[in-house]
Amino acid sequence: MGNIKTKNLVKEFGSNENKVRVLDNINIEIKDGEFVSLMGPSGSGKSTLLYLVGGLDKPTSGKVLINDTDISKLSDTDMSKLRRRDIGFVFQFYNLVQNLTVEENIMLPVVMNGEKESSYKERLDYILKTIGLEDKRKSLPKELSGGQQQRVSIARAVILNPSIIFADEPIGNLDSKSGKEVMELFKKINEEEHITILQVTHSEESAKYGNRIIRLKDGKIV
Amino acid sequence: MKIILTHIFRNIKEKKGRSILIILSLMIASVVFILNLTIPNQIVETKMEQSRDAIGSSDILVASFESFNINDLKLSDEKTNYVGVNDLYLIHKDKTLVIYGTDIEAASKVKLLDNVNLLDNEIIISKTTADKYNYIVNDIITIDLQDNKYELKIKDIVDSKGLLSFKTLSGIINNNTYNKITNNENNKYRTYYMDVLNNEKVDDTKKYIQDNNDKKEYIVEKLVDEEKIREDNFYTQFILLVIMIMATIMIFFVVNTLNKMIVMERMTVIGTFRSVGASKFKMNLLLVLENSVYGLLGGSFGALVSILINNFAASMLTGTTIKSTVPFNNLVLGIVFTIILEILMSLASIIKSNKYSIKEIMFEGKNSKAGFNIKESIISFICIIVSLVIYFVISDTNTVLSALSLIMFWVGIAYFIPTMMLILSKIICSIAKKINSGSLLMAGKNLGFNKLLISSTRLVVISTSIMLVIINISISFNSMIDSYKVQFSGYDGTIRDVSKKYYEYDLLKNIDNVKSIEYNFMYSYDNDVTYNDGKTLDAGPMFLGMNKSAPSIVELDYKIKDLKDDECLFDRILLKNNNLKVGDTVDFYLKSQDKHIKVKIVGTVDSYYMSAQREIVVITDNTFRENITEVPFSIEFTVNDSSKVRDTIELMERKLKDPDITIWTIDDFCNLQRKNINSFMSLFYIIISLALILSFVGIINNQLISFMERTKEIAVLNSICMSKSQLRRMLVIENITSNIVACTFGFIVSIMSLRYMNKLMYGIKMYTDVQYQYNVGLIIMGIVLIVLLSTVIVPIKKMKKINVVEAIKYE
Repeated sequence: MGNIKTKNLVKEFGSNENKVRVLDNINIEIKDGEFVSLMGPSGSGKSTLLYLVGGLDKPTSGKVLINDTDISKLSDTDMSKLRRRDIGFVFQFYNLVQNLTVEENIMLPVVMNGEKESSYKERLDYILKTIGLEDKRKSLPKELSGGQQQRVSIARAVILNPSIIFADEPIGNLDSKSGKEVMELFKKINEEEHITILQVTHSEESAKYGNRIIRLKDGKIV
Repeated sequence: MKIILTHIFRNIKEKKGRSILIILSLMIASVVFILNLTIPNQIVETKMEQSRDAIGSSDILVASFESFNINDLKLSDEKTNYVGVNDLYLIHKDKTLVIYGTDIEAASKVKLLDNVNLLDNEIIISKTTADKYNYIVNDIITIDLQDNKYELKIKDIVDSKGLLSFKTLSGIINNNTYNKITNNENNKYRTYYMDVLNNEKVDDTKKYIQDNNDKKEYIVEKLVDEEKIREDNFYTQFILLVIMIMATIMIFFVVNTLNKMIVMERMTVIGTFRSVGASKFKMNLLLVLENSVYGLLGGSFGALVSILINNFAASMLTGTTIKSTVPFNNLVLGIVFTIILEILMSLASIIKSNKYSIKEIMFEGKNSKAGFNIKESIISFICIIVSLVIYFVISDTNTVLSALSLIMFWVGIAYFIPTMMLILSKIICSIAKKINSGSLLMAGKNLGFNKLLISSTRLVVISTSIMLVIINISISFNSMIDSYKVQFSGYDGTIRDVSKKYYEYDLLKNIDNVKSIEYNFMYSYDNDVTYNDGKTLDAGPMFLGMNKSAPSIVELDYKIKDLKDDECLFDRILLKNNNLKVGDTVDFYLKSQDKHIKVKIVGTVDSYYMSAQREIVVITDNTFRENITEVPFSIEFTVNDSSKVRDTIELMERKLKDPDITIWTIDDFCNLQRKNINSFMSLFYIIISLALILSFVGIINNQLISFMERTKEIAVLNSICMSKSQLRRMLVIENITSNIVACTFGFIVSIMSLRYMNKLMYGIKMYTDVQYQYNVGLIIMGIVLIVLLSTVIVPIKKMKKINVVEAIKYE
């Protein structure tokens, strides 16, 4: 299961007269197994929407339902559990822990979930094979190219078999060849592992890897 | 877990300089903590052991000026072994030694000597005596009696243990021989050593003997008094405690700042961890664990260093060789203390990291801007005003409030710094606008609103002021300990360990070259004196019998020479602490002598040269001799020709023929004191210097890190409007202004802090007015300022190498 719903989602920044409404009554529904791309010009609120549905930020009003759970009602601990078990994140600048090796970075959610690393050995091998970095498992992030780092970041996002992956401009920092490889990896994960993917992108080309596009302009769905 | 630990260890390893600084700081904290736990007990144990070596198993001494039979004493029913000991001063030609006459078997029983078969006319002597007079076994020692001579054959030469440890030059004979030489009656002794078989009853037995026998005739003393040994070690404990507090405060500020930097730098990683499912609690736990590792490393190194230096430090502090191991428990406690200290030092930064959402942490960058915070300003003013009120209102003796006022003052100052920087910023900005200088304007703005600059200034102010307080206290300790120089100013020599009544030393006046001699009447009572029907003074008292001024006592409102026999002068602190006033009449009751001294307080004196506890009561020498003792504490003398003072001392020794006394030239005596003190103070200086160096390195490190943290900000300024030379000017202005202000403010804060410290020291009965050494303060501040100003070179060099595109990539 990996469905996402928002109900009258509003996000405002600033206070009093400087208040700016970045998202205005957003209602979206993403079904289990969908690969959706959020698109729109800069400042349209797409990244803000991604952070809100991913629980990285809190809305001013409205609801976000992940797998039918209202995440605004969750405590920090429960939200963390949800992030560990049901959600995977992929960021534009990879956000790998620089002093951990490739496999240690991938296993980070396992450790945070309080599970034994050894029980994920096979899964790790499988994922490393999938992302094509078996020979780099002991390398540090700084020894990898941007594309390779992003693949590690995707591997980290899927290690605990989440139902949803949120990706914030995952190929925004990559050359076209690496970008293509990463997007194909997303497609593969979506199809083979049946993981729902919501990505923010500027690129029409990368949006085509998904099944649906949601377009935003000035905080509203167009 | 393995991954988390790997991450933690790699973090520590990656920031080598910073990690080493933290671990070294924690190591010092751990060492001073362990030494504080260990050394005072070790000193007591060693001294108890040394006492036991000397007095064997005996617990109580009963002595009288005349020899007496044990049956004359009223004793409790407590089962006791005892031995009587007489002493005799042997004088033959230039040789002098003390001979003890005792029942050999009974003395062996209480372990005052090893079991020997000593026949009549035989003597055993100590190795020291044999070495001094070149005696060997079977030599004959001759005693000059009034009418004839008496000869003793040396049976054995033994270690200076038991009875032979009491005097440097001594020997033991049996009772028969002693009685024959002195015509003493059998079974009569001047001193009895008693071994109370039930150790728990020692105090009761002592009290029983004291209460049931004539106090004027018998002196009853507990031989190994742990409580008294602990009291005697008050200063060692105090100095250790001061070292610990000072070192910990310095370390706290340095490590706290480093921890803030670490957390700030790691915010993105914290965000990443949280994005993959770590809750705030788990993240806090991880950071606490990381700091615990620092604590564990620092604590363990500290424990190791403590093991290595403990005996050396204890010996330095006491001037005697101490050999014992640090208890395992103390090592564990030291490590635990260091871990807790490190966690406490990092807790504020860790908690602060919780208030940001993951999005803020990961995508909005580290906010290096600080706005004027009215709450902080209000807190700073409240803290400073409350601390000043407490300072001026409370009495000198309230330790808790004194400590509270000092802490509040420092907290107030720490919170006041952003306000001060804002004011400074406004001034600089208005000047910049007038002279139209972009660099000055940017520098001015940064001074008021840049978090890193403000935090760096705060560290400089607090660290430098603590540094100056420590240095001033150290100088003061040094001069306080040097105060014996004042006591002896004007004299050429001093006679110590005097045991006869003062007039028996009048013969010294007739010795060639002796110009004058002065008897120093001084006697210290430890809670053995009450006044006005059972009240006790908070310290001492120590009575001085004087008839004229002396350099060691500062007369305040009354001349000692005008003092009458029924009058006294109180140290002003003693007077104040006991709620007495000039004009009151005090009826002292000397318990051990069962005597009363009734005197009227006619004035006050300052006695800090004599005693830091200020327990001095000055009475006339007549009153002193009549009621306390006619035996002076010491005799000071002057000579006509100071180049011949050593010859004069030799003449004095020959004339006095007393093996007990020691005669020193003032220079030799002062050098001896200095030697003991030097080793004592060196340890103090070593530890404090280490803490100071670390703090200094911490400040510089902080300045450099502040720049590193601002790399992006500088790159952005460079990319949009400012040239590198403008940026260079901006950095120089920031550096000069913030450091001059910080050092000046630190200097001012240190003056006030020292006043608070003085009050705090009064609270713990350390009545030493620490004077601020302005010249020293200015020199040190000058040096600190020069070094801080020179730190700008590194950022300027680094700025040249900044890759603007790389640096602003993630903005």
